[in-house]
Amino acid sequence: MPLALVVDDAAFIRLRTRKLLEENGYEVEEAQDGKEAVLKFCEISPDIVLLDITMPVMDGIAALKEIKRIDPKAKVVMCTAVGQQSLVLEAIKAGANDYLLKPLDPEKVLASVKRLVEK
Amino acid sequence: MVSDKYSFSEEDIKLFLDETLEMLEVLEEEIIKLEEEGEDSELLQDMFRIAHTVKGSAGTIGHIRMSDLAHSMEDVFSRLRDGELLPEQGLVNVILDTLDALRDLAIETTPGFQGEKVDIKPYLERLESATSKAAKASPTSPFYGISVKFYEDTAMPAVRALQVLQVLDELGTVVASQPSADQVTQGEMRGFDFFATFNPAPTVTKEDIVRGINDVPDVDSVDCRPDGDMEKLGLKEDSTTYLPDVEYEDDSSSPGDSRKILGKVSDHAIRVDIAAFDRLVRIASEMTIEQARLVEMQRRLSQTNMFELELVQGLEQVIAQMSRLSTELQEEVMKARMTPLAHLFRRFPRMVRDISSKLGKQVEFIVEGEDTELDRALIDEVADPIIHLLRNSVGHGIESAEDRLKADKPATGRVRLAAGYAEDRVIITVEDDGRGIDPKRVRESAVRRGFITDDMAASLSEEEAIDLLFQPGFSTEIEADDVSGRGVGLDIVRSNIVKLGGTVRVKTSLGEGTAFTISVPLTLAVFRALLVTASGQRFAIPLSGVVEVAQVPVANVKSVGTGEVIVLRGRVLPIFNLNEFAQGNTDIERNNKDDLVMVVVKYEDSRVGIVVDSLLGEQEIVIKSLGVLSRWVTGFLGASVLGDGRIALILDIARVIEKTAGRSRS
Repeated sequence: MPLALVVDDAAFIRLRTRKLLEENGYEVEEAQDGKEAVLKFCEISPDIVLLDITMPVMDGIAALKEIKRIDPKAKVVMCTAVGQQSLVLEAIKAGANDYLLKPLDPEKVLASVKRLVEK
Repeated sequence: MVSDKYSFSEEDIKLFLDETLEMLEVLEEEIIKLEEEGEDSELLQDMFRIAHTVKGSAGTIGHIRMSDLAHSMEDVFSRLRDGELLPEQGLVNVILDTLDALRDLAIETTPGFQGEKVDIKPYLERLESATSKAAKASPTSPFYGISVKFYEDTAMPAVRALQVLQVLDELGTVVASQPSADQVTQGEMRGFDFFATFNPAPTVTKEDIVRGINDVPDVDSVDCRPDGDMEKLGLKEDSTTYLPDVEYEDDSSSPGDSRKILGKVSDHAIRVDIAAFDRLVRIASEMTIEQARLVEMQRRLSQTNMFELELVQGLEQVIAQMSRLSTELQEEVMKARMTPLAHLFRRFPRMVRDISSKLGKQVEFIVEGEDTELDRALIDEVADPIIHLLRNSVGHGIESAEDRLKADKPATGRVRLAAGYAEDRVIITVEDDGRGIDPKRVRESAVRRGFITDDMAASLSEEEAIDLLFQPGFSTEIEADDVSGRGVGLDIVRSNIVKLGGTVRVKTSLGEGTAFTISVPLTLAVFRALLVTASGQRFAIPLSGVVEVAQVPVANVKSVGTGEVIVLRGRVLPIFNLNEFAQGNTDIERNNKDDLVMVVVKYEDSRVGIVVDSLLGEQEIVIKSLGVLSRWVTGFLGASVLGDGRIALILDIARVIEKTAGRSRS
């Protein structure tokens, strides 16, 4: 079963994403800030990371860079809000594979995750 | 050999030389970048354009040999751009040599030139033979015109376009695109269409391209046709002819923007002589002085003349308006003087490459922050120190590949040159991952040379030992070599930088590397200062060095050994008495006051309390050199003319602290 790491500082978003992914055949681990995400990433080597951009302690961009440094092949989808285009561009340049707009659309989440995991 | 005649005035030739040498420098930097980073169509297009300009300028001035050689080089660039040639090392070496030859050719135009003239034939032949070797196995790759449509509900089309660009970059070279790569990265994309002219890598098929792009989310349709019609996309090669007497430098008219050197061509910028600029700065600065005098007069007038109240008030308004304008003028002129460090930094990749290949060392050279802007006058001043530090890093810092491998390090050493801002200063770092400096060796060398005694050496901390490197005439390298250069030592580096009001620090870790950090003010000519009085005279203390201003009871002054210290909030500060400095009046207590007014200043890690009579306030001041006087007066950076026409000496904080702290230590 593919393993997904869901990173968001909001517990309810983590919960909803976890449910969605688990219902569709993924195993899910969670992290609530960038720093925890990086540590978890090293620990569990997930097949895909869903990474929120605006987070306390270490933001998504910094976490992305750190993750890509550890594993350049890591697959990372940035979760973002409208109006954060410049951050998303920065993330894509830093190696993010895709972005998803909040509020998350379940179909799009599954399509993006599926596409990247099967790649 | 044909004798060349240049039917132009000396001034034309000077401009031609300035401009051409600058362009050759840019080319040199770009070709090295190309060798390091591989094919880059945008870079190649730029190189082609510059070579074209060099050819045109040489032709205009009547320098046929130069224009012929530039023509051949332009040809090579165009074939590199079109993917017919690969930027392999042999070709790059020949191009670098050709650039040197072009430089020599340009110098031939100097009036009264007596040297040997360059024979271009061997260069033409070498270019010819190198290009036949660098030719790609397959003939010219076809161009594709690619048109991508994103779904119209795509939230961030620019992000998707960036992903398409990333896909294309992996499959070949994007010659041009609309919106351009720059626009996409800036998020400037209107609508949902993206076009690109694309030159695929040899084995890449049309299907690969379409599949790759379709893999990007939100792509509605992809159209990929061979023979991309560049003209239709409005991306055809720029065929403007360039005149040698004007340099187009920038297409943005706002000086704050980071500018691209010799980037896109436009007619919004012209080249101005630096001397003219210096005059502008001086005039703008002096205007603010006159301005301050005007305020003073208006104040006096309003006190003495009660009858012309309306007139006085009118004057007040005019002065306020003028003050706004002259401040603005001054700011604009200062801003326009700011030049990106790229102008300077682009010389270095070649230098580092030459030195490392001469020494047989493998060095990766990283340049960062070349967009950082610095006052033009300062750029020239920091050049030599940086060159020296880079030479040191490559020459002494980085070990041979063999030694590095033995020490479990990658064979290729790294030298990093980085610039950036820190408050109102520019920080320049030269860093290597080489062998580091051994404080023990420095101590030994210092003792051997008689700088210090054995006992002194033993009592020095590691930091203090490393600091000995900055002593005049000091060098730990025993053998002379022409790379590190023995003429200028680290002492000159430091004194040059300190003269600019800057600092140099070194951090080293044995076996891991060394980092030199230079910190200089953004500009020299104008700064904010705290005005104070002592012994009836006025002094200015640069605000950048002021930590705080405090009133301290005289009773807190304590005598220790050779000097006086004061206890301020539990911290012991050496005292510098400005009265004593100004007049030889040494006795603080005799000033007949209960409280002392003290300005606490810092330089590097030291702090000193400067005792003054009174504070006059903050002011923007223009520095004037003390000229011959500076030989007799130490401790001052210069002088400034104040609003009322009186002179204030500007304290050199570094010197003051050196004197005071040195005194209390000894």
